[in-house]
Amino acid sequence: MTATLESPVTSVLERRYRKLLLAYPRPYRQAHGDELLDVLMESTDADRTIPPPREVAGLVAGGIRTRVIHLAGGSVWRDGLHLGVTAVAVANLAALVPYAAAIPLWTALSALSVLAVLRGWVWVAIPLTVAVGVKAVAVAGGWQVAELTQVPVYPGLLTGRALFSDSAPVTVTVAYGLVVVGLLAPAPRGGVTRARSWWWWAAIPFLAWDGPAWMIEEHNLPISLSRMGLELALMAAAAVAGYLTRDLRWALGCAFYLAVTVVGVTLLTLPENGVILSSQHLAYGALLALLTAATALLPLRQRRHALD
Amino acid sequence: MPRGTSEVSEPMFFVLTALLNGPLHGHAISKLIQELSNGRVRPSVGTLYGILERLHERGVIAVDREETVNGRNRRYFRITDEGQALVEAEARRMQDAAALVLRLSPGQAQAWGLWGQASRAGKGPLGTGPGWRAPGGALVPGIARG
Repeated sequence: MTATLESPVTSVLERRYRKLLLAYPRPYRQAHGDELLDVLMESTDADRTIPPPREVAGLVAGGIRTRVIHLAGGSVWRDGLHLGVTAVAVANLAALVPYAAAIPLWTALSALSVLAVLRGWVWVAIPLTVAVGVKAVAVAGGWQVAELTQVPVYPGLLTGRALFSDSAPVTVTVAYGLVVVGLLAPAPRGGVTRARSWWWWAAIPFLAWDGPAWMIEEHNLPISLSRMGLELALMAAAAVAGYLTRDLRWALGCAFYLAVTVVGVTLLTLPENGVILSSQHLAYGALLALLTAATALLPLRQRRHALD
Repeated sequence: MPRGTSEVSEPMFFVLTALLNGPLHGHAISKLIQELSNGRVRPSVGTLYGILERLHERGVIAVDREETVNGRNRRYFRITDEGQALVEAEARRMQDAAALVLRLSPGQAQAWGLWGQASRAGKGPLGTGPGWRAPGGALVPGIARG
């Protein structure tokens, strides 16, 4: 016997199924959510109030898959580059957040530039990024630009290190400069830069916090475990998305982010900067490179069957 | 039937097969798949609709019509000409694969009482003759014709 739509027991089950359907993107839910609910109710025993585990797993997996597929629309080049630019812009803002009390105007402008990048407002994002970038490079170099800023800038929260104490001006230039280059890069087939998820804001505390400690404190280029966890999780998710959709936009985004990181670290380790990488740095860098390679190779995997 | 073939995944094969007799909605497809596979293939609703969306996107099934039942929209899917050609090609491929196993496996042929018959004619399972008739009347081709 299957569940009907009238019984009180069913309403509990139906409510639970509706919650599970939230795994699907809103446009799909609006178009087909009721249809799926109808089949789910017909397929489930009437005396059940808890959805069967196999249906729960199917809905969660189906929802994630549908979300990823919905994300794979539009120009691969433009969207992939925008993804990488977004990640770097968010990391640039996260670098300023612990010092917001000392440099409120520049942190606010950086937040506005991230908002513009997320919404796809390219021509708003570029001047904001340039303005914040010039100030950031000045702070890193100990120069005064636009307003008097006492250097070093000491943190108010999340870290105990002074602003850009482990960055040369040239690495800050690269981090902001490549965001502008990425925003300016023309798409071969045109298309619109679409808005990205609000969840990017949630990445900021993970990137800004310098804990829990993993590397020896004295090292002049520490990487926090919170940052590592986030970067590895996002790149692993990108690899899964590439696998599911056979789309290269996630590889492009990861490669852009990795390029900014690698170029920045390479510049820092020039003899005049005196930074020496530890084996932990190299191992972590190799892991990020491996995940980026996975996002590029998984979409090219052999097809198992005609409709794969 | 193998759990999956090199051309079409097993659940997709059953979905296409279920639609051969006419358009069906999601729940009816699910029930028919279970019936056709003797209960072995039971995709969850999330999995089934993932398959339906992908088959629809590839053009092997199409939405035949939409009906409103209990105030909810219900899509009826039908197989397209391309889908029918695909599932028929897959069925022929599996039939050829099954014929090959029956022809090359003495144990299987003996179990079906075919070995002696084939050997007497000088056209054993590994022979090159025109083949023999398997139970059910299907002609199993000889290796030279395979």
